[in-house]
Amino acid sequence: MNNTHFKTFCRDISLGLITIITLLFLCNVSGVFDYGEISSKPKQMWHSLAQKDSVNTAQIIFSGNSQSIFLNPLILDSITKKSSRFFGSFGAQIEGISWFFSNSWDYLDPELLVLETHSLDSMYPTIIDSIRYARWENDYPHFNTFTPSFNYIPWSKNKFPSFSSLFDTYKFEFTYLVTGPVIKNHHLFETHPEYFIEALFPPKNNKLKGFRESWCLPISNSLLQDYNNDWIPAPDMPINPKKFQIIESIIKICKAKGIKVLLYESPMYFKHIKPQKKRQKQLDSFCQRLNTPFINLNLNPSLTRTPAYFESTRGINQHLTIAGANAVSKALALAIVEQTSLLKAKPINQNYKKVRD
Amino acid sequence: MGFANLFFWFALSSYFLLYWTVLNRPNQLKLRNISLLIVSYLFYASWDWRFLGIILFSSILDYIVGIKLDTTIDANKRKLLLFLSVFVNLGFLSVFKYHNFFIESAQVALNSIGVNHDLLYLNWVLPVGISFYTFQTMSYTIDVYRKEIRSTKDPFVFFTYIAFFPQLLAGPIERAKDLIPQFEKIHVFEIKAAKKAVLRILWGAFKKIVIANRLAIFVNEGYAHPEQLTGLTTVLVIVFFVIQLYCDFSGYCDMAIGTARLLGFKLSENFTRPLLAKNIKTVYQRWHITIHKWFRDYIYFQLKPPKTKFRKCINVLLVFGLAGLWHGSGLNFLFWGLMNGLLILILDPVIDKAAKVGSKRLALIPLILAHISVYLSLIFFRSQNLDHAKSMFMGLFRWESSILNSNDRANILQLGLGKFELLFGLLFIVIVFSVEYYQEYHEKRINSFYDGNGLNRWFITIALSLSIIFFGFYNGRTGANFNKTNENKQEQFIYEAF
Repeated sequence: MNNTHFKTFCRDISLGLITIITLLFLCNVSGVFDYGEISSKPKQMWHSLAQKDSVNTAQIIFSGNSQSIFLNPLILDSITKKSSRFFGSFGAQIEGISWFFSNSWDYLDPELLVLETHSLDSMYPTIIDSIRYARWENDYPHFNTFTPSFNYIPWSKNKFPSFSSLFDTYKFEFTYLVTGPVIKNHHLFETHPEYFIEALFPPKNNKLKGFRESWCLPISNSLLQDYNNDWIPAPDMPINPKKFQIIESIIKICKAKGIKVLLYESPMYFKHIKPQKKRQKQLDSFCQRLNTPFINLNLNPSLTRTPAYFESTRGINQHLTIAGANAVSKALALAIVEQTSLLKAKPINQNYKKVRD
Repeated sequence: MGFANLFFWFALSSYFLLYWTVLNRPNQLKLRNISLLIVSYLFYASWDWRFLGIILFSSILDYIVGIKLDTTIDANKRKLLLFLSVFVNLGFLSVFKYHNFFIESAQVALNSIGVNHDLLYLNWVLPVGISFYTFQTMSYTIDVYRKEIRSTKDPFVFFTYIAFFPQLLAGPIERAKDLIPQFEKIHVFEIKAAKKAVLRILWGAFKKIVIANRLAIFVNEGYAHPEQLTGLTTVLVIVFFVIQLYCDFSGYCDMAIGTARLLGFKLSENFTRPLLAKNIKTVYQRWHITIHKWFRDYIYFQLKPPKTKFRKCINVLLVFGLAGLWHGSGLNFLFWGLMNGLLILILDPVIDKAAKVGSKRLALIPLILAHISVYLSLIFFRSQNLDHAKSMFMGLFRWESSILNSNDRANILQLGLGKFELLFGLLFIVIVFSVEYYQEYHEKRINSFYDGNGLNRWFITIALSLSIIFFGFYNGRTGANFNKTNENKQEQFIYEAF
């Protein structure tokens, strides 16, 4: 065998692999592929806070996950006559939301906090998120626009995870650790080019104020047919009591700061899910106990019986289309206005800090 | 584990280093072949170790039959030995692949004469690659029987020939005279060939992961609900399936050929730009070349030479019918095969005549017609059964008032892929066919690419790798508008199912 040729070949292949890995690493570190992050983590919230447009001026803060991110701020603001802002992310759970707010009350001063209840649904945080939240417990949020993604390397104080078990059980998360969000969100060019463009060229004036325009297509004819045939609707989904503990702590902190809280449940098409009786009972009794208003939009037939408002999906989680988001925004804003006590002006808090770089 | 699995490439890289540094030496030939055999069996076992016994049994039987055929002079005994080999190999295939088809056909026949007896169906998993390695091993025994080759005495060489991992699962089906001699010699590392092999693997992966997996979402969604398709979407589903099938299988073959070449082995070409073929016969001379050559050499040429045109038609239909059945056990596959046989008999003479008599433009019309017919025949190939195929054909008659109205555009986007995914898909299809066009008509330019400046090849290699990473459909990626909760099987190679 010609050793020189073989060595040259191996060298060229190694060089090629190093080039590709370096490019992937740079893409990872740039934060661009992170931008539309759909895993349960508060990075999206930090981006919004870091944009500084509505920080300290948002009078109504909406928070949740993909069930509330598509609301229309123009409709919300025009009806409530207040400025609103969304802090949340796709797949956000109440743990992440709680962590976010507990680290950012010094920078926010809303009159009202509106929480959507699907963030209470049980999706256990991954090992990576648990490690990440533990690490960030004592870490102040950073408001730099360049956010390195070294967070994905689990250098936890407490425990170094076993990579073999991580690989076996969380193959996907392990790949994520090694390659960062690039592999997980590699499809960003095609599925959400607007995220890509927004991450590269952040808009100066963010009209959507943290919300996003829905890309969901309305219920198709074939799905409507399926609803009438052998469709098995999603079952009643009661909430894990531990989640209520978390949301209770948020409500208590808000009360102490003079911030009103409202809970609402985003609707789904009435045939897509079974009536959520147990869930509703839980939420009603929880909100009554804490004297917190709760608006269940699943009880609004003008919303739930309009197929054009809902995503054409055979999965449990059904999102709003643009039309649906507009209708829900209107219904929610009117409900907020009806609860007039929610929108009384509150004294200005002199103690909150201004955002700095 | 297969070509679509990252672990395979890690394992191959390690074996590649070991192979060229330690194993591929003059005094290590036997060890090298043993290592290839072990690696091949491990590769097969990673799919399903239970079926290793079948491939081992088949190999042992045909090894012994081969030796006996060489040493036996009696013609009847030789026929018996050949019959034994063919019977056992086809027996395995019949039991695992065709049992339920035969039972269903028998059931229908019995029911039609009033006999209502429930026959036994089997729910056995089809051993992966069985259609390929049984035909490969049969070709060996047939060639030895015909005295075209001598049997191989080295069991490790023979067993590795049957189980050689790059081509074990879905071909190319190699003839013994081409592949066995390569196991009997030490290879020289050729850097140019190795670099070409890497490019070939990447090109195959690009076709499979970026194009075929992507189009699979659209096609699967379309075939799942044929009654919902309009005329335009039906056409798109049909065309996309042809491209998906081509990119999937030719992509696999590129990776197989490239992988073998990295180890110094040359496998046969299995695809030579069939979609640029000038008539239907040429399509099948360029598509899955090794299986069609197998049917030509071992079935068609063995039939009595036809004295009449009618007899020739029967021979052609018989061979295409069998080729159809090879692909799958169902009447729809038989129908597909027969349809293509008919198309060759009816349309090819028209195309050839038009090409001779008229201008090139005149020849285009029957040529386009021929390609359309082949694409339409693939509806039977893809459908689950004849009724399903009928539903797809019905879609061709559901045209809205204007072809590109907003409803039709919305319908297209309901088939699982987002707008940009479709657009990028079209772009990549154009790239693949542009490259094939150059390969067909400007071979010198392609050769100069391989012989010329290394920077171009470097750039293309990086571009292909990044395209696979950023535009590939892997890791369970679903389309932007994908709505199904059912697991999408686009990552499996289509021909592995045969």
